[in-house]
Amino acid sequence: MLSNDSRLAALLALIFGLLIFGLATLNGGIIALAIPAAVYLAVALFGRPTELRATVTRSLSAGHVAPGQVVTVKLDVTVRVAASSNAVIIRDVVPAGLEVVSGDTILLAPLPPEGRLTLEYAVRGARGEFAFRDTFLSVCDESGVFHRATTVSAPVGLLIRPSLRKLRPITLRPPRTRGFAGPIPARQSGSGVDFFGLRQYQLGDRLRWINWRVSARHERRLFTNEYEQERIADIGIILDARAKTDVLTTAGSLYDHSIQAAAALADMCLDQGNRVGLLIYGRGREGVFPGYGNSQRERIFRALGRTASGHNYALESLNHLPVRFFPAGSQIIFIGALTGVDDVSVLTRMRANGYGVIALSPNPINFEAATLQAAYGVAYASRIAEVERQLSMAQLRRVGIQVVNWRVDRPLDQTLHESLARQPAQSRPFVGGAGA
Amino acid sequence: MRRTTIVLFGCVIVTVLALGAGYLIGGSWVGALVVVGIGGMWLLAHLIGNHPAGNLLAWLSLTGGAAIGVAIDLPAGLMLVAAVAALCAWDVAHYEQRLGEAARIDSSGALDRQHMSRLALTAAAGLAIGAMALLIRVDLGFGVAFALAIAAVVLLSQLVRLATKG
Repeated sequence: MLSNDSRLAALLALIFGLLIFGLATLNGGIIALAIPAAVYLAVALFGRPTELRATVTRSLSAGHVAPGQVVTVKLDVTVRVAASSNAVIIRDVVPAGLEVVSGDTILLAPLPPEGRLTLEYAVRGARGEFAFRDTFLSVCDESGVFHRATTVSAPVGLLIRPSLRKLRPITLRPPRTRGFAGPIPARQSGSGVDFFGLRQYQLGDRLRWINWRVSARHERRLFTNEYEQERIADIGIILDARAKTDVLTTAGSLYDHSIQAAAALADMCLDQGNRVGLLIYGRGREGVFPGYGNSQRERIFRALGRTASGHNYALESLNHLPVRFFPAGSQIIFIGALTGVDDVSVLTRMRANGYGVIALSPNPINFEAATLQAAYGVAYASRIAEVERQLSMAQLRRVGIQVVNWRVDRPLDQTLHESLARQPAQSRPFVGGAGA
Repeated sequence: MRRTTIVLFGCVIVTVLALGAGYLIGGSWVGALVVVGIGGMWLLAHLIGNHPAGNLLAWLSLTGGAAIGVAIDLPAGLMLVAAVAALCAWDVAHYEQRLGEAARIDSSGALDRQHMSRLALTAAAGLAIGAMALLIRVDLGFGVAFALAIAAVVLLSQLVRLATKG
């Protein structure tokens, strides 16, 4: 569309052109032809908006939603224009990545006497953090020759959390548990369900705990069963967000699968009553300190909602991973592609420091190969990369780290249960060298 | 078809009829055909899509045609009517573009009525003043006319500059 300045220039050009042509030919009739355009310009001049003031209040139906969920954006606009302008154009800027599903983001409306207008539309989108900020307002005179525009900022954030798939509980065996009752065997005798051992009867022991079969073999001595206490534990989820470990294909990003896995695991661990923390290591080091319950779930989902893989020269290596972020003896769940050269040594060192470690690794080779055309070279390259990966994972298993090789086209729940069932957790901390 | 589109078509037809009639009266078949051609292309272009540059070109061409008509002593009244109608058509075309930009238009009927009534008043005033200017004949020397024209140009420029700054 021609800008208002172009319209003004065209009008002036025509008026001046007719004046000059009329003077040059000494013909008053030609000058008279300029009069309608001059009147038109004069009317526009007197009706031009001299001042435009506006306030915008933006509200969202929800600030934190699941992917694909529709959010209604409502703008209450108050406009004050010092002119006889009859209409205002309101254009709201929708953040990139959101799709408008209903309603309109551009409104042309006559100015109501009190100057209040409402714009409402609905959006939806994929995981991410979105910032609504600017709204453009424009008024012009009736002829559209003179205009006045302003930008009003009404910032509101929308967070779309990662999609969540519920997991069945997995068996965790962290080196240390906390004092409260929970689902994790604590390797200590006490009240519980699973048999832990036998000891001689002591005053105060419950009679139904007496092991009569063993006591019958001993004269004048009674033995009671001991049960393994079940407690909660500290779970630390580390999400590898380094760009170099992410794989971007036409099918999407491998990191998105890591995020979904982190959300599902955090949800499952919190459901069991554990204390869960999150550390995202990539562009920066974003952490959610360990905590319990629904509010902690919200904090973790918020962090996962806004995360993106990125590059940071200082954090290229996992060596700068702040492992002490999690309490000693925690169960660490590392989620990453395990493609870094020092990933194995860093995870080994964590295990040596007394953490229980599970490495959940979305398979980058399988993910990338699925989008490549079948070719001789691709198949060989995949096999070589897969061998290298299997070697790294074997190294990790050797030091007592439970490794889950997740092909992302398979359900995480199934993979987790199959993998962890084959690799029981070792209670004894690994004490070898970091490079072992 | 929107009411504004009907108005636009009406204005273009009036322009073409007035100019064509003027040129035919003057015996210029070629001029009349050119005017009809420009008008036809404007309508056709508007039916295909509202092109701002096309509207501007058509408006300037038809107004230029009117000026040439006055210069070659064709009936000035018809030329003035054509110039006013072309201006109205250009305005309505722009108004339709503005409406087309918006995804939602509140009270479009009221907006249309307000715009059209204002345009009708402006066009009537322009036509009336233009007609008076054609009727009143004042013999001025070139110097006086030139001075008046320069004064008009300067005054208009200052007014526009003031308006765009303010």
